[in-house]
Amino acid sequence: MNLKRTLALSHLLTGLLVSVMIIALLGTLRLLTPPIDTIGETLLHINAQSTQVANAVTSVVTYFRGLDTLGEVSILFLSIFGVALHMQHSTRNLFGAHDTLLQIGAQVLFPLIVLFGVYIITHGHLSPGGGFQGGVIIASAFVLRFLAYGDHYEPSARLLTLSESLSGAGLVLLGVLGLLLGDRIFAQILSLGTMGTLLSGGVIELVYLFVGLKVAAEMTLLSQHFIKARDV
Amino acid sequence: MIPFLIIATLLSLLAAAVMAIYSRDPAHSVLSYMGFGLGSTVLYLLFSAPDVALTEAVIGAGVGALVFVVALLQTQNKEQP
Amino acid sequence: MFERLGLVLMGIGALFLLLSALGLWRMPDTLSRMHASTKASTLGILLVVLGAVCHTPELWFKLGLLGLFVLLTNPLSASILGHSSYRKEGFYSPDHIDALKEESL
Repeated sequence: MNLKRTLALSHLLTGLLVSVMIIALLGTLRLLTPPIDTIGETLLHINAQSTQVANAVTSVVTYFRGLDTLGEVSILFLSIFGVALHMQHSTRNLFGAHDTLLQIGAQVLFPLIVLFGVYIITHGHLSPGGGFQGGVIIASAFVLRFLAYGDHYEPSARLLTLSESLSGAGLVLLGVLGLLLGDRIFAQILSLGTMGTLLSGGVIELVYLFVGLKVAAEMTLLSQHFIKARDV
Repeated sequence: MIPFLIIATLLSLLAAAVMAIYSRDPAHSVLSYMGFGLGSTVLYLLFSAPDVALTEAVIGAGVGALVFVVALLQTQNKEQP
Repeated sequence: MFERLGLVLMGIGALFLLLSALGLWRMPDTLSRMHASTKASTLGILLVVLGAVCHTPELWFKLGLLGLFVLLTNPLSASILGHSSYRKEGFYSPDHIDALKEESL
């Protein structure tokens, strides 16, 4: 007991010391160096010229680094593949609660949460957010239904797999089309539109739509596998 | 005002991390971990990176909590019967 | 003028949030803690949203949606919490009346 308390105290002291050091380090770095804005300024400049996208982070993620996003999405696909191989379905649900109030609340909240996710996806080039965040929000609506209904709710696995694979194929197709028609992968092959409106950005909006659909389907499948897993 | 908020958020992050390590009940650890995610969301917002903040909120509160809660339920079901 | 009113409303809301946190800390058992935390925090969040509407009236639609969402989810989650706490440990009632038991949950 005494040893444990001493250990906890020493850990606490170490944590405090490290955080004080980090704060001091950040402070001195900020004092010593001039503000670093070489890459940021250049990116903002290029962004204002070549893509009509209000949110510069989006244009970096999907346009300048589109191939990285493709790799990220394929990593997610591999992880859901591994989970699906590893965990077999059982009919038992971990969340077996049947609460009438929760079921009614889930019915009311489900379309609202899906709508919010779709808003986050489609406004990814205007405001913070994008395909990944909106997709996970849509999947959380499905998790709410799993919580409320237990065994009585099974989203169609075929539909989920179909939408997931179709959106993944669409994403790859968009990249290859950019490679064929333009000069590089995910090149801009559509008209840009004006900055700040919903239909601006050309390819970027399509990339985020595909990524959002894919992430939503994958996360729903993943949570379904986790929740309905047999004891491994 | 902003540096004060940043330091307060950092201290609460430290408290949440210590609680996540040293609490007896694993459920309390999971809750502290979620509090840690919330605090880091606020921190990213204060550093004016709303995209990262949104991702952290979604991952920390959605996926991470789901994985931990499912793991907790699996282990508890194994112990009790 | 409206900005001043919004700031005052936000201050009152923050006060209610502080009270709910205090109740969460000081109350003895689960149900009294929920009694302190859920209602006061719902009122506090709604007051903060109302203050934000008074402060920047252009955002009224999004803030109204936010308030509606809080109004939908906060009592629901409190009800679920209370139910699961009852299922796990029951509750203390001085006159031995347990209305939930008679409903045969």
